[in-house]
Amino acid sequence: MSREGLEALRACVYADPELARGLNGLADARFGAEVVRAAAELRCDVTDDDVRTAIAQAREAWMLRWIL
Amino acid sequence: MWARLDEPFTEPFFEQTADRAMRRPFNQIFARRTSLAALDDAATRAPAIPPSGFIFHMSRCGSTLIAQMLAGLPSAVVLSEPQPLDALIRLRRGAPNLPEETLLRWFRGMVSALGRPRRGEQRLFVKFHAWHVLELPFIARAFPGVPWLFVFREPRAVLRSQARNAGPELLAGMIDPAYLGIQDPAELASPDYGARVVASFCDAALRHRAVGRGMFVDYAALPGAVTSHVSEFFALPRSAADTQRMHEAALRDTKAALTAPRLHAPQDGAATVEHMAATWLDAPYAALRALATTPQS
Repeated sequence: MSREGLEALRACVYADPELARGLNGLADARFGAEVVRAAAELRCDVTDDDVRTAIAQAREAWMLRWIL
Repeated sequence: MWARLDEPFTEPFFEQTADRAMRRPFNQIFARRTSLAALDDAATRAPAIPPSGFIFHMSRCGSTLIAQMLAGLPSAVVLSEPQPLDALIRLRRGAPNLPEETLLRWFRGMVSALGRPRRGEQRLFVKFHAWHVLELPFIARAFPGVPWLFVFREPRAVLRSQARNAGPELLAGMIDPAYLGIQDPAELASPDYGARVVASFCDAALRHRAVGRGMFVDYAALPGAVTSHVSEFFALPRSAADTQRMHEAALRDTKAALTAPRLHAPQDGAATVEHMAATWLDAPYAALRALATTPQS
């Protein structure tokens, strides 16, 4: 997993409200592919697998937030 | 951690709205972590709605109904028991070296950040956790002049509801025992503990009446009081459409999906409730009733 690529993409999203709005408005089914596409345009090294892994980790962390 | 939320706060509790937001893949990837210092200028960084009213309560007394009726208004943002505010209020005792002015600034910043308009809303209401009435003067210092309600109910009904399904505020240790004047940890296990906690909320509301701009609302006057006294007190415009929206919100059973009966109700429940209400709650309840729906200027 490219942690650096994802962090670089996050920095771009935080700095660009339009990009954030566009990604936030995506249907769940299209989200991963569009994130990878946006990352490529921004020259951030992010793969499908990176996105899937990050989502799974975030989901688990949210579910466990009260017990860990 | 900050999630993006484009839809209004429609659920009965903030936590449910936060959970909905965090199920979105965007927030799972891009939710942003900041330090508390990010709150320093949050109140001035983006347009925010100044609070129009605060709701305090003794628990199990109709405060969620009031919040949901207000949330039915398109012009209103209603934050119902937001955990981030709870965390900041807890810092008052958890980090005693933190300057009060810093905490006040962060508190204002958090209210401002959570209460930003998303669909042109113009009014912001915050319904606090029951125990926050103990810190009403701090909240009033953060937002001087904002009118507040204290909602209360006949204490036996409150205690019966808590006995069926105890709220977190009644779990021993969730509230600093010093608020209750408890010195001996053994008292936390006392059968009276829950009634003492609820009584402390009522006592605090009566004591903090001196802060001013308060109104006391009896559960028995709900939901009608919301479209009359409360709306007037919070200076809400009362169009026929708004009144209808609030009535419709009142018809929804806001907590039905959240509560489940306890598997083992105490055998001596009625006698215990009667004893605890008479010992701890009847006196403050009578004092609250005497003040009910009377704005305190």
